This record gives sequence, structure tokens and C-alpha cells, in this order.
Amino acid sequence: MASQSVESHVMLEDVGLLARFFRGAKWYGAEWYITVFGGVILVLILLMTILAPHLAPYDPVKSVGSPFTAPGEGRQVLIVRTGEESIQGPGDLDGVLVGVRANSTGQFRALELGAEVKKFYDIEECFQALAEGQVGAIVVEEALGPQFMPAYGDRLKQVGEPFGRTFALGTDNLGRDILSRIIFGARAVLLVAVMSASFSALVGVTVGLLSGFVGGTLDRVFSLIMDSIYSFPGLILAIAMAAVLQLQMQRVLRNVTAAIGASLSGDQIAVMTGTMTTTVAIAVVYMPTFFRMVRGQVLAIKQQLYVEAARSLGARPSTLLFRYVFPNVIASIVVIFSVNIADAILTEAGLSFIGLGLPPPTPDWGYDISKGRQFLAAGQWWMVTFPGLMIVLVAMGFSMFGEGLSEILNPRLTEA
Amino acid sequence: MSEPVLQIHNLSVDYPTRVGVVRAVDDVDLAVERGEVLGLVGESGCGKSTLGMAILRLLRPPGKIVGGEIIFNEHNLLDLGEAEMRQLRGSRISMVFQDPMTCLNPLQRVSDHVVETIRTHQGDVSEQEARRQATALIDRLGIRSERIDDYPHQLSGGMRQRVMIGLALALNADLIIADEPTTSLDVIVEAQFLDLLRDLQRQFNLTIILITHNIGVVAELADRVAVMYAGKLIELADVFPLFDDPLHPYTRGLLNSVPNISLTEDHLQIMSGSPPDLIDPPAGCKFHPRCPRVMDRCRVDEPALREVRPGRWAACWLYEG
Repeated sequence: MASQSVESHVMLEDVGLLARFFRGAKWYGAEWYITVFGGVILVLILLMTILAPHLAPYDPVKSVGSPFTAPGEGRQVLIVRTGEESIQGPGDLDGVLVGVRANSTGQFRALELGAEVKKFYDIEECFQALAEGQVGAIVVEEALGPQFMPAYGDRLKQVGEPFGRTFALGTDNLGRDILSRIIFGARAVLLVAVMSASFSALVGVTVGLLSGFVGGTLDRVFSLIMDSIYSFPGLILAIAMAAVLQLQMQRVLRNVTAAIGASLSGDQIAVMTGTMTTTVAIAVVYMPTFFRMVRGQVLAIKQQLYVEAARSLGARPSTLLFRYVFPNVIASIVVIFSVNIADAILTEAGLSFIGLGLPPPTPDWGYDISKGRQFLAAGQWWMVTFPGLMIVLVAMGFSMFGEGLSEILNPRLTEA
Repeated sequence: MSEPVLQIHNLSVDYPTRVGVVRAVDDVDLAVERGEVLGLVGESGCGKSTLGMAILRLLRPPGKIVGGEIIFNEHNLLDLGEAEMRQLRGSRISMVFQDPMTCLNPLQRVSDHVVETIRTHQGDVSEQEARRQATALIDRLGIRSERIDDYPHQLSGGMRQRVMIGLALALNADLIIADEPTTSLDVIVEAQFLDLLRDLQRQFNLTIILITHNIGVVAELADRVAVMYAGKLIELADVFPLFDDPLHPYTRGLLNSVPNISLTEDHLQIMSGSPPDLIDPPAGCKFHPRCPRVMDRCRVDEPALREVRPGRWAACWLYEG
């Protein structure tokens, strides 16, 4: 690589990445930073979705701590068992491990610490299992120690020091780790947003190209349909679509899975139904955006002299459409696509907020916000705040990327 | 002269508009012979470009050919199907447009344009062979062959216009319709381009219909001149007799209104009035409201294009009887 000196007259190909980056900034101005910033956010989010199992500290759908643990806090737990061996932490326990903690009604519930957890709702049952060797130890929250140890201390013994687990972003009302739910929730949100934007781009662009290029009655019919869709407020239409589609989609998916002989559990079908329903509902809402943009551009490009010139040289309509008209619209499609994903994320969050999204155990930002809202008044602000921030961040990333790109993707500037 | 390549009989073109029907081309008769350059001149809106597009059957809707026939190499183009017509465009009849800046697809290289044109009409030509032909063609037009992979915006206006000519020449078309080919070029590039066009015309014995409002270009290049006014052909003659002694008062006015450095100010005559509204054209001769030699008959009857002297055709009552 040549020197990083920007002053010398070197070819673009000869300079280092860093110099090229700053040259781009010089060339395009503020739009460059906006695009790069948006792009960086998107790359990070994408990495987060791909690496979710490695990044998430806990299982997102299981209760791993006490309910309503505030961000950064955690509760100490004691490990108790009948044997004499010293245990420093859950890592020393191989095989079965059971956790016990009291809930508000005084019953004991399982608290997961390891690979496998058994649930006991009766403490005597739990002792029985411990005596028979079915479970290795009992885990008790330290706060319960003063009640627990005096009551059962003659039969059990604390092993090792109390150890704790903290939750960076706190836990929700069911004791699930919010950070893990956010990380896994990105998967659902991005999947639905990208799929619906692709679906509406596919339909909107195809129909828009045809409509603009063919014109006449076909154009009027398509325009009427698309304008009718466009005249509805987006979220309301998506809600209506999702509500109507849900049952149909479930039936279709059952039939399809039965037909191809795949055996799926009810939960899996429910997740697929939710995903497909929201995808289609959102896609329908955003189809007119692509349609109107593409149709408008086609109408303008169709009048361009170079299309007329190509026609006068005997080009086929298909050639005109695919080699002259379509390539000239692509830049705009890319921009609209990116901005549309941002919109789709918001709509998806809206749908799951009112319960029309994915079924409950699945991590989903919109659903988590709607759950958290119930506890906001009680001071548990973290259940709403963090998923909300993520929605803002991702939507902003796509918006900035798309808007910046629309300034940069001017073919006359990229060459030269 | 030799056999005609193109014969137009009684061709009429209508543009239905909201306020009435505009007859943009009115009952035009015209023959173009092989190897000649026919200049088609007239003011803006007189129907000369419409006539050009009508020959290719590429009128923009709602424009429609409402009568007449266009005989090209013994086939009536108006009887052909759209697919046959498409085969003809570019291979037998080509068009050069007036604005080279916007005539080329900004996203296609020069080579793509030429190769595509060749392969559209000769499907059996391989990609490499088409490319070889394209390079030879570009070279012949005076563009260095390494520029063939440039995009249109990397070329100058004159180069783009040469590429356009190259596309029209790529398949040795029998007839080239050049619609104001030099309008958007500056005078030096225009002169170079006209030289090139003349050389090519002589070299390949091209038949060209040169549509222009620029009398100078016609004088430079054309063998014969057809003058149009309000959709009508009003005078047709070889270029030198026409310039020496224009018969129709409109042609005379047109020639006199071209500024010339040797003319004093009093000699430059400006034609009064403006072209008629074609939705409601004047009765009789359409030029009569502006004609300096208008007669009573002109206001009632419309003169037909007749051979008033050998080789001189005019549509004017002055030469009747």
C-alpha cells in the first residue's frame, strides 16, 4: 500500500483503506458519515443475530433469575445438599442439578443453573429425589437462607460459598434475562422485516415495471389497487391483515407440513404462523411504496430518448424492459428497500405489541415492551426501555443507511 | 434516377387531443431514391419529425396513421405485423435522433449498444464476432477503438452522435432517417459531423432522409429538398434549383429569413405570423394568412402538390394555368 498521504496525487486504487474512507467523506460530505454510521449499526446487529447463541448469557425463554431483578443486580444463591463434598459453584456439579426457591405463595420452584433442571412444587418430593440420587443438589436463594436453613438444616447442608449471577439489563416478570431476550429477539424482528421488505419489493417492483411499461388498462387496474392499499394508514391495515390472516395461515401451514410429511410440534407451527402472518401483513402494507416509485420511474425512463432510440433500432420490448428500463431503477429500489426495512421493523414491533406477532415464549421486542408496560408504573422501567432502545437503534440504522445511500448512489458520481 | 427505396402515398397522421384532432401529417406523397439524401425542412411543429416516426411506425400514442401507404422495398409497412416491423427497424431502416446526450443508455457501454444492435438482428453472430464488428465500426467513425468500453457520459457530444450513426450503420440499413442530427452540437463539431456523414454517404451509397430546420445543413448535404408546412408537403425540388429560385412563397420566406453576413439589415426578411393552429386550420391554402402574394382563390381552395416545371413540384395557385 502506498503512503497514507492524501495530498499527493495517487490513484484511488493505490491508497490504503483508511485514506480511501476519508476520501469518500471528502467526496460525499456528511452523507458519507451517515451511511457509514448506519452501515456499522447494521453490521453489528447482523453479527448479533448470527452469534446470538454465543453472545446471550442465558436462555432467553427460561426463568434464570428472580423476577424484576434490576439491571446490573443479581441475587446470591446457596447450594445445599445432603453429601459432604465441597462444591464451589454449579460447575462442580455434574449430572442433575435442581434449584429451589420460594415464590410468593411459599411453594418451591426450580431455578435453573445447569444443563438440566427438575421442577418440584413440593419440598418433600425434592428431598426424596435428592435422597435417591436423582438430583445432585438444591439451589436456594440467599435471601431465603434464614428461613430455609433453620427449617431444613438438620437434613441439608450448605456446600461452598454463596454465589451469584447478575443480569446486565435485569430480568422481566418471569425472571428471564432481558439482555438474552433482546439478543435473540433481533432474530425474529430482522427475519420478519427483511422477509416482508423482500416480498413487497418482489411484488411491488414486478407489478410496477409491468404497469408502467405496458400502460393502458392494466396500468389503471394496478394503480387503483395499489392506491387503495396506500390510502389506508399502514399500521391499521397491517393489524387488519394480521388478524384476518392468522387463522388461514395456521390452517395452510398445518396442511403443508402434513402434506410434506414433516412432523412439527404445535409450538413450532405457532412460531411459523406468527412469522408468516406478520411478514405477509407488513409486505402488503409496503407494496405500494415500491409500486409507485418504480412505476413513476418507468414512466419517466420510457420517455427517455435512449429507449426510443433502442426501439427505433429494433429492440424487443423485453430487451427494453430488462436492459434499458430496469437497470435505471435499481438504485432507487435499493434505497427504498433499506428505508422500508426500518418501517417494517416499527410495524412488526407494533403488531407484536398488540399481540398479533409471534407467540409469547419467543423473544420479540414488541411483545416484551407490551409486557413491560404493565409493570412500568411499579418502577420496573428496564423491561420497556431496553427493547425500545433496540427498536430505535435498528430502525435508525436502516434509515440512515438508506437515506445516505440515496444521496451517494447517483451513477454520475460513482464513475469519473 | 434509380429505383425508389421508399414511396409514401397519401400518408396522413392524426393526434386526437382533448380539444380536437390535430392532423400532423396531411396527405403526403413522397418518394426517396436509393443513394440520395432528401432534406426535409420546415418550422417546428410542421410535421417533419412525425413523418419520420410514422415511417418507422413509432408514433407516440395517441398519434395514429389514419390513411395512405408506406411502400418500402415493395412492401407496405402499414400491413406488417409488429414483430416483422421490429425486424426491419435497425436492420433495414435506422434512425438517428437529435440529442446525442440522451440517446444512449447511461448504464450501457458503447460496445454493449453496438453488440446488442448487431445481435438483435443477427442472432447467429457470436458475441466475439459482434464485438469485432463493433470495434471496426467505431474505428471507421473516427473513435479510437479503446474507447469502446466507455460509458456514454465519458464521451463528448460529437463522439456520442458518431456512436448513434454507428448504430444506424451497423447493419447496412437501406434507409437512414436522421432527425435533426446536428441540432445539439456546436458549429465546429457540426461541421465535422456533416463531413463524416457525407463521406459515409458516398462510401456506402447511403439513402438518408435528413430532417432539419437548418437550411444550411440541407444545402451542405441534401440532393433534394422537401419543404413541409402545417403537415403538408408544399415544395419539392433538387437542392440547387430550390435555393436559386424557390417557387412557393413560404419557401422563399424561409430562405430569406436565414441571416447571412453579406446581407444588410434591411434585406433580412422576417416572415410575419406564426404557423397555424392545426386543430382549427385555415380554409384553403394553410399558408394564406401569412402569404405576401395571397389571392382570393387561396382563401377557399387548397392547392395540390403538382409538377409545375420539370423536376419542380409546388403546391401553390400562383403556378396554376
